[in-house]
Amino acid sequence: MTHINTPPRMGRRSFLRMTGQGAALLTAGSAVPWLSGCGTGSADGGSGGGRLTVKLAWIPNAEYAGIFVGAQDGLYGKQGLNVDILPGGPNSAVVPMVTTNRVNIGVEAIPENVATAVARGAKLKIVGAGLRKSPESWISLADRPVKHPKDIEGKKLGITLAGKNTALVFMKRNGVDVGKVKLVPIQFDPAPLAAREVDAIWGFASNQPVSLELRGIKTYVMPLADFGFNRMQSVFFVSEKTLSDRAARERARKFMAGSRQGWEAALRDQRHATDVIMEKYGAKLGLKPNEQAKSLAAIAPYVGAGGGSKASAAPGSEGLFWMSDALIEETITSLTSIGIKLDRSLFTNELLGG
Amino acid sequence: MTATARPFARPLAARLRDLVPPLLTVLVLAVAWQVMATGAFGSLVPKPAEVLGQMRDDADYYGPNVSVTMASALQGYLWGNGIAIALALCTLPFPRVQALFERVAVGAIALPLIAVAPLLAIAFRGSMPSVILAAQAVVFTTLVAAILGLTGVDRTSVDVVRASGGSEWTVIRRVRLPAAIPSLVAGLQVAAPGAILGAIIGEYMGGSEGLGVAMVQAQGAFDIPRAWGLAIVTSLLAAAAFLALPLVVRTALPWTRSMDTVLGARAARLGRRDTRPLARVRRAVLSVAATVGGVVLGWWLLVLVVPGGSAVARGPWEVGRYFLNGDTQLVTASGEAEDPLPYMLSSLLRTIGDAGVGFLVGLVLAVAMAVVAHEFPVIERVLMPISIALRSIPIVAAMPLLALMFGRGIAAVTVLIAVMTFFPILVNVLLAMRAVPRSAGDLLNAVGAKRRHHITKLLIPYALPALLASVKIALPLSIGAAMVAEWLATGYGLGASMTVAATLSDYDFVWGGVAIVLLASLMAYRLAGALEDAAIGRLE
Repeated sequence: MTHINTPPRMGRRSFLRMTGQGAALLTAGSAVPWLSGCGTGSADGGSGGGRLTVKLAWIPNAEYAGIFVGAQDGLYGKQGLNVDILPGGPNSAVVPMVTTNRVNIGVEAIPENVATAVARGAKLKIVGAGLRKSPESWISLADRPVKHPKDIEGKKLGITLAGKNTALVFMKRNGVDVGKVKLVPIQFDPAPLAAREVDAIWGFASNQPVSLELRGIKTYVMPLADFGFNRMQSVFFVSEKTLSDRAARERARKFMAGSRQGWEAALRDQRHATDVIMEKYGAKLGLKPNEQAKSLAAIAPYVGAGGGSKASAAPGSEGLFWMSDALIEETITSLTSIGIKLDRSLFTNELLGG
Repeated sequence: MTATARPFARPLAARLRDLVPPLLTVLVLAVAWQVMATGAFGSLVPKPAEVLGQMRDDADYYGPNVSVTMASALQGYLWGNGIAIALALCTLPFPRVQALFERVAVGAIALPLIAVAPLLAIAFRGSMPSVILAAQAVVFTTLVAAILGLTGVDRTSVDVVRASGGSEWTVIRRVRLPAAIPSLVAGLQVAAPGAILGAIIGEYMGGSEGLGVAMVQAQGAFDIPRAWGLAIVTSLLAAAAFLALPLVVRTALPWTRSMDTVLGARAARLGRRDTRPLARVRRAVLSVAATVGGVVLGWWLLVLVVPGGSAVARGPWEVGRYFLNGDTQLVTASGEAEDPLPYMLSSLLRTIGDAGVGFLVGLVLAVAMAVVAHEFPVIERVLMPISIALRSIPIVAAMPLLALMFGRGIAAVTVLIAVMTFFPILVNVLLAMRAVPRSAGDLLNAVGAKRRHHITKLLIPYALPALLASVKIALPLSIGAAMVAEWLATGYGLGASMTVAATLSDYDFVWGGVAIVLLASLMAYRLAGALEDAAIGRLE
């Protein structure tokens, strides 16, 4: 094992741990000790009082601006909290990382993944909504718009496989003859739409339309929320154990408070937030500042959108991330409609209290 | 490769002449690219100049990402090969155990990523998942190559060492290891691009740098010139690794002779075998039972040993119970929940159908190309850069273009699988055809045989064992490739339904799928092995 392998954020301890794993790999037969050795994971490992690890669902970008600002501006540090951010990716598994206590907090793009895990016996709670209005939309080309769910009949819709169930149920509820729609998996890539291979794709209003527009392709965006399928997204969730353990709960509360301040700062000063993202990840990922700025501007309304106008009028306990009764009801209705069993006990605002 | 076996010994002019065909290929490809960029695929195919410009702008950002990915790939390469070679050495005195390990190792390449990913994510941090996937990608091919090299030695050399009082260790050191080098190098060479792709796929599980992460960013942001630039860099790295390996070995071990070895070929028979039907049936049953037992044991240990593994993995017993009386929450083709077993079997049949068609096309193309390349050496030099590049392009980056060009049905799947299997088959078959004794060819010429007879009576029969050996490797590969295509392009079959199940935390279904895929891959391998036995038996 050489030093070039050590990721930048990795401390001496974790480096030693990894080196240890490597050394133990030499003796292929004795796999047991090294695996259980690393099993203690850094979720509870880091000790030192205030250390917390958060796992994101996707690669670092404007979608997580508030968290990056929180880290960069010392909004966590001020509370004595040291936050490790683990980025995600297309094959990223967030829920299992939380259920097995490898990380303290997870961020999932869609609440369905948390709810189904809970329905299967996982002990998790959603503790905040990063997006309080769903940016999920069907995105079509402006010259051949799909303005109504019915418009998709006889056409081709690009989806992610993770969203297949949702797509089927959404169409059925809106009276679409599912048999007349061709569903193809496109994962996260807007290319098939640009190439007119598909007529619409399932995406985020804050995401694909922005990158397509930057390349001169005009799109029409049909938010699912306008057709009876609204729900919170980009949800923060923790294991029930975290909530029942006093110290762990306090760390999680501090994280939520810091992230909230981070997002408030990011919404207030979007240029600063863009700079933070560019500084931390721009060079490595080759991010482009104008793209990140546009993306942030596009997602901002969904972060700020409250459960009604009341939330924005009265900050404090009902500020960002707060899940109003109305939002919870809407989420439950939407998820129930796609066959997921859940109830109000999945959600708690207790970490967001004043 | 006999022609280029000793490039240093040949005059400069001849070596330069050898370079012309591959360079011409590159030129033709560049022109074809330019045409495509201005044609119907223009929205997905950027112009070469645009990509080159982007690559120049991106020069700074390749450095750190390449070094992260290559560090993971190199570590995985070393671990995977180390483990494979160690296994081959340790089991040397026990041929039956060795054969069992080889079959169980098929499981390593057949293990679907969608099931392994969460397991790796909860067990490891940092670049470790990438390292492990890189290792996983190389362990099978290297094990096969090492076993072939170590066991296929000249028996008299072994006897000489033994007779002069040498221990088994001396035999290994003095005879087996040196004899194994050519085969091993062939295995290590094929493994090199595999390790790089494995590391990139590992980066898809989450990371803040590396070629895989950069690729995801570029694709998500619809930055096509950059995505192409990254694909080119990746392919160049893989090709460089492939081409540099023999040079490295030749520099480090200058006494090594030729590198021409057929990968996956069967070594000398293990003594005389009882050929009565009853004994053969018994042998087959025993070996199937041992293989299945080995795989189940490995599987069970994997789930047991990984901390927290029970959260995302299911052992053999749980899967058995699930098949008997579980239900799946997946919205299936009919739109209603079904029993898991019939749904899974129908998905599997689709996957096998996909894999079978793609495999056959790849096989026919590869054999045809091998014949052509053998008859016209210039074709080989034209083809080689293409087939190396095909083997090294990251599928995930290429899939949107493949889908646009070939649709999202069986055609796209077939192309993908053919691309994945074409290269190993071509290399193997070509090497075997080269080994045809000159005297046999002269004999045919003397009786005035036509080129057609030359091919049908000599080349094909002579290359048959090599062909069957590569079938053994290519069949499980095809199943894996079919599942990737289903996940990324078609949206049906086991590859797609397992992906959906994983996002719904339906790990019963995911690991049920693992069991079924493993079983199918082992059966494919077994089938290819039986074919090989029958063919070799006839030739002997």
